[in-house]
Amino acid sequence: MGNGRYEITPDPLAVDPIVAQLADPAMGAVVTFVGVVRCETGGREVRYLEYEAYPEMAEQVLKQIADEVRGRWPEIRDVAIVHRVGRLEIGETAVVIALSAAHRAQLFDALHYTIDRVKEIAPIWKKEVWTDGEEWRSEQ
Amino acid sequence: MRITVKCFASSREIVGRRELVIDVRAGATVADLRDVLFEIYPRLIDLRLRFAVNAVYAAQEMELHDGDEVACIPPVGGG
Repeated sequence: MGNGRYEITPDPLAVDPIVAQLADPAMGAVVTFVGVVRCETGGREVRYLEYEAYPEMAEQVLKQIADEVRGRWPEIRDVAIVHRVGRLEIGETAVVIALSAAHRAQLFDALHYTIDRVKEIAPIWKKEVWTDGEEWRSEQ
Repeated sequence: MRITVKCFASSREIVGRRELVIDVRAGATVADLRDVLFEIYPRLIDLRLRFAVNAVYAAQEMELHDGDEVACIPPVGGG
């Protein structure tokens, strides 16, 4: 197992350094998911989002998700999941997920699974602040 | 036993702070602590809270120990 990265950070996220961390001469494919703050939700105008996490636990849960992914798809080599917290403006990156493998087969399914699990179990919360109110949001 | 309770997101807003220290009797479980919290902060009842003990999701029946850190986990929503 190589270069996993599981991190909660208040700093702006850049995709390239996260992908670069997965570099390995035997790897032929990397897929990434970049979650970005959008300006509208359910017909309401979003001003900004406020993310909060329980960092010590969230980083352990992100690592657990990566272990689940590698258990289901043994061809996946490295997993990076980095989530930002704090106030995020429209267009800013909230989460970056990157998975690497020798070949692309399975990577897309594994990526889908990874983001679903992050939303489901990682102790991370999102408050939407609209022009006319605010609410903590969950798909659960 | 002294238990440190960490609150996040909607639970933090209801409690009005990030951290509390609660005394519970020896042998108390997560459910016992939950009931104490619900009595002090009834608005927590509506949150569909899960709990973590020392940063791991825990069942309601789990027994607590002096010095444990219990987190209130409202429905999560990262991504």
